[in-house]
Amino acid sequence: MLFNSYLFILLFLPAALFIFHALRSSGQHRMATAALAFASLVFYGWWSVQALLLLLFLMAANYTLVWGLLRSAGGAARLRLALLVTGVAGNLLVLGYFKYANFFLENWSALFGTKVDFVAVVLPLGLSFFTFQKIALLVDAYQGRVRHFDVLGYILFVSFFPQLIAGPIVHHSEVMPQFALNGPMRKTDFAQGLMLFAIGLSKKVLVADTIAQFVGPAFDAAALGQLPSVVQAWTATVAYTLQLYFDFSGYSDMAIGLALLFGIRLPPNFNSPYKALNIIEFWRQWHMTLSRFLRDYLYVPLGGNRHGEVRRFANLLVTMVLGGLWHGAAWTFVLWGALHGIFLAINHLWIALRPHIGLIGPSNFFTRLASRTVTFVAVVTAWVFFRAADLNSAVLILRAMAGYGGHGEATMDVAYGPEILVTLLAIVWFAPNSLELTGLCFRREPAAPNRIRFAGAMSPQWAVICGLLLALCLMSLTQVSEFLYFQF
Amino acid sequence: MRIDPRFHVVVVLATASLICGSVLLFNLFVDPFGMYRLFETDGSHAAKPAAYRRVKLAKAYDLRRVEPEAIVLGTSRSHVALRMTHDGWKVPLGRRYNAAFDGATTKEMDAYLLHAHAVHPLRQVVLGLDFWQLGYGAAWTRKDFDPSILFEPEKPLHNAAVYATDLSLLVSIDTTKASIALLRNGDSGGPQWLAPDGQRLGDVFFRRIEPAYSSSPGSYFRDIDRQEIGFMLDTGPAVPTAEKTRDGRFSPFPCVFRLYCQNHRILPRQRYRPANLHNTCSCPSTGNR
Repeated sequence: MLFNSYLFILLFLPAALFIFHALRSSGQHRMATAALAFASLVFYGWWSVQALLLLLFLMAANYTLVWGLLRSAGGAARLRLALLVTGVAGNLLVLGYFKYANFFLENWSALFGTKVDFVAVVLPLGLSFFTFQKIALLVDAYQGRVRHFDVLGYILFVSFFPQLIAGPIVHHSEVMPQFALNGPMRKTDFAQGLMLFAIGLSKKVLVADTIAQFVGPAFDAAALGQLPSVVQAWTATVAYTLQLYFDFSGYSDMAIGLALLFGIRLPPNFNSPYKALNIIEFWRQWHMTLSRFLRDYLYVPLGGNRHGEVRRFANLLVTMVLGGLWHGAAWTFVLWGALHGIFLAINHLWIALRPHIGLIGPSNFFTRLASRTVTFVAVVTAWVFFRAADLNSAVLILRAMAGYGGHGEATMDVAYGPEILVTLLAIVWFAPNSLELTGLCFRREPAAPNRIRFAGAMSPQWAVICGLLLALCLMSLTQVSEFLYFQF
Repeated sequence: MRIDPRFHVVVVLATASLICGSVLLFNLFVDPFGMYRLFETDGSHAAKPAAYRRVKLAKAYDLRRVEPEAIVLGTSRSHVALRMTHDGWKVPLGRRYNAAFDGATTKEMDAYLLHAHAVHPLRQVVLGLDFWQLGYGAAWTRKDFDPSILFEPEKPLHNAAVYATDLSLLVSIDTTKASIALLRNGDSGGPQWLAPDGQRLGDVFFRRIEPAYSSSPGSYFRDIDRQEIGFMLDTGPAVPTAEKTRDGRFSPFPCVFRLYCQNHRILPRQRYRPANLHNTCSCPSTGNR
C-alpha cells in the first residue's frame, strides 16, 4: 500500500485512526498500541504476504536475541558477544541475500568469467531500513543502553507503518517510550500531522512526479549510448536533484505527519539540505537519520576521528562507500558514496587549512553564496552516479555536462520547463522547509522563536491552503489512461 | 489570527472535501468519457468525443451499465464487423455488447471476459482472433490497459478496489480537463464512432480528421504498421509467452477461453482471420509466432 493511493488515504488511514483513537480515548492504551501494530502488519502484508512472513520471522528472531542480551546483562561476556554477533550477522546476511546476492554473482561472473545462475529474489520493501533499526537495537542492548523494552512496543518499533518502508530510521529510544501512550495526545499533534502530510503528499505528487519528465530523456539517451547536449544534461541533472529531494523529503514529511496523527513524534529527516554551505553540513541536513546511524554504528566504531587524520579520512571513505552501497546494489552507488567520502575529506582538510592561509574572517553574503554554489554543484554532480543506469551512461552525462556534447538547443519539450525549475530552485534555496512551516522544529536562528512560525501555521489561511493542496493531490493521484494505440 | 488546532483540522478536511466533492459532481454530470450516463434524460446516447481515445475505459463502464449476457471479444475487425443486431445471437437485443477494441491483445480480451462475467453471468461469447494470436504470443497488455477498472469473479478485495478507482477517476484532473473541453467544444457535431451496443460504426470507420490520412491513406497505414512494430519491440516479450489457465497450466489463449466458457456454461464461438500486413511484419521482428 502506498501513502499516495486512494486505498490508503480514504480507507486504511481513516479506519486505523478511528480504531486507535477510540481505544486510546477510552483509556485502553495497550489495546490501542496493539491495534496500531496490527494495522502496521496489514499495511505491510498488503504488498506481499511472503514479505510479511519474513518480517515476522526477523521480528521474532531479533526479539529473542535482544531478550537474551537483556537477561544476561552483567553476565557471561562470551555469550553476550555471541548473541550480538549472531544477530548482526544474521540481519546482514538476510539483507545481503535479498539485496546483494545478484550483484555479487554478477561481479563474480565478470571477474572469473564463469557462468552463474542468478537468484530469483524480490527485495522486500523497507528491508534496508528495518535491518538498520534492529541492528541498532541489538548493539544498544549489548552495550546496556536499552531502557524501555516490552513486546508490544518492540513489535510496533519494528513495524510502525508510517516509517516502515522508507524511514526515517528511528532509534528505539526515540519511539519505544512513546508507544506506551502515557497521557493524552498533545493538542496540536493532529493538526500539525495533517498539515505535514498534506505538504509531503503535494511535494511527492505535485512536484516530484511533475519534474520527473525533465529527467528521463537525457538519462535514457545516455543509457542508449548517446551523448546529450550540455543543456539537456544540466537540465536533467538539476531536475533530478530537485526530484529526489521533493520525492524523498515529501515521503519523510508524510511519514512524520502520519506518526503525529497517532501522537508519535518521529525524528526529522531533512532540513533544507540544498541550503548547506558545505558538504559536512549537507550530510547533517540530508537523510539525517541515515547519517546518524552511519555515524553512531559505523564511523564511530571504526575509530571515527580518534586515531589521526589519515585514519579519519579512511573511516569517512569506508562509511560513505558502505552508505552508497546501502542505497543500491550497483557500482554507481558505490562511486556515489566514494565521491561523497572524498568531498567530506576535502571539506575537513579545507577547514584545517583555512587558518593557515588567513581565511578566518566572518562570512559575508558573497562567501556564503560561493560556498553554497560550490556545495550544490558538487552534490548535483554526484547525483549523476546515483541516477545513471550504469557507469558508462554516468560518464556520458558528465561529459555532456562538461560540454562535449555541444550546446544543443536551449529549449525544453515541457511547457514552462525553465520557469518550473527556477521556481523550485528558489524554493529549496530560500523558502522555509515543511517542518519549519508547520512549526515542528528547526530554528535556524536562535533569535527566531519557534512559536512565531507555529502561530502562522495555525492560521485559517494555512488551513485552507493545506486543504487545497490535499484536494489537488487527490485529483492528481490518478491519470486516466489514454488510448495510446488509437485508430489501429 | 491563530485558530484552535481542532478547528484547523476541520477547515483542512472541509476544504479538501468541498473541492473534491464539487469536482466529483461536476464530472459525474458532464461524464466526458461516457462512464455513467446518468443525465441523459431523453434516452439518447450522447456523443462523448473524449471517449474515442479511451475506448477501453468506456467499454469497461458500458459493460457494467449494460450487464450483457452476450459479448464480442476481439480486435478492430471484430469491433467493426460483428453486428450486435444480427439474428444469430442467442440472447435478446439489449443484452448484447461488443467488447472488442482496436489492437486488443489476448490478455486484455481475457480480462474483459472476466469483467463481463463478474458483472453479469454470460451466456454467449464470440471471440475474434487473428491467426497470429492462436499461438503463445500476445500474452501481455498494452500501456493504456488498466486492470484496476475491471472486476474479477470471486475476488471481493479487488472488486472493492474497483469502486475506489471509480472515485479516483471521477475526481481526477484528467477527467476534469476532459469535462471542461466537452463543455467548451461540445461533441463537435460529427457522427458517432461507437454505437450504444459497443460496435464501432462502419460508416464512419474511415472518417479521419488527421491530415495524414486525408493526404495519403497508404502512408497513414504504413505509419500505423511502424507504430505497431515499435510498440511490440518496446513492450512485447522477447520470447513467446503462454497464457496461464485457471488451473495453473500454460496454454494458448483459445484453449484458456474454451476451458473458461466450458466451466461456466457459456456458449463459445471463435472466429479466426488471416493476419494482415502489420501482423506479418511485426511477428518476425518481435519473435512471436
